[in-house]
Amino acid sequence: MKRRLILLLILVPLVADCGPKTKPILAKFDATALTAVQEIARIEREQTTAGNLMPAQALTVRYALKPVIAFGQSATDALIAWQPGQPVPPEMLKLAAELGTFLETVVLKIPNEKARLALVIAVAVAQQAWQVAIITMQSEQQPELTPALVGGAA
Amino acid sequence: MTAEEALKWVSVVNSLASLGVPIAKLIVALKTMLTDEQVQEVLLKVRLGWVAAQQENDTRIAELEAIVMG
Repeated sequence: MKRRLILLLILVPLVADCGPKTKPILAKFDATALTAVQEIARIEREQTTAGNLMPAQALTVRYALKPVIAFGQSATDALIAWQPGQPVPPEMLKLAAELGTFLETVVLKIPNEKARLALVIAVAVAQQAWQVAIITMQSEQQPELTPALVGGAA
Repeated sequence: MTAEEALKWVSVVNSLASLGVPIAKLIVALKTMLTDEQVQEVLLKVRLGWVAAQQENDTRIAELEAIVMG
């Protein structure tokens, strides 16, 4: 029952009409996702130079980054055209999902701990921004439910 | 607030998040709203950033393919 409530709290703001805070908060997530991608690129070069990533592993990271960047571009275009009252652009949901896929299918499988940890931190910052975006959208639509979700106390 | 200041502000919030500042405090910070024009300016800069990231990634892929494939 509690899980269903949490799932509902997460999904409702993403499909419902969104208020005026939605655009700034999604812009923040978009900027953070870009920062994460730039950081991943820097870390890949650094860790490859240090010998912690083999060239073939680095290539896997770079191939996996391509769809993240493509969704980043389309999400930004969609957000530029977005108006209050519309649902969250689906491209933005795809960008958030693609970062999760990148983390699960590529980063967590990197054998070198130092390289893996550096990349996990870069992705985690973007995921936290996404979490903030979801909670802010919830606060616009269901202000009475947000304190329980944030504070964990019912 | 100019677009540059807005970007710095985004960077500060990101830094706070990475340091483990509770999300509830970040939400309070996020109530400092940007105007629609400032948000659009930030998004246009982010758009350019994505294009640059794609170019950098494609260049690096070419470099790494040359190394891996000998």
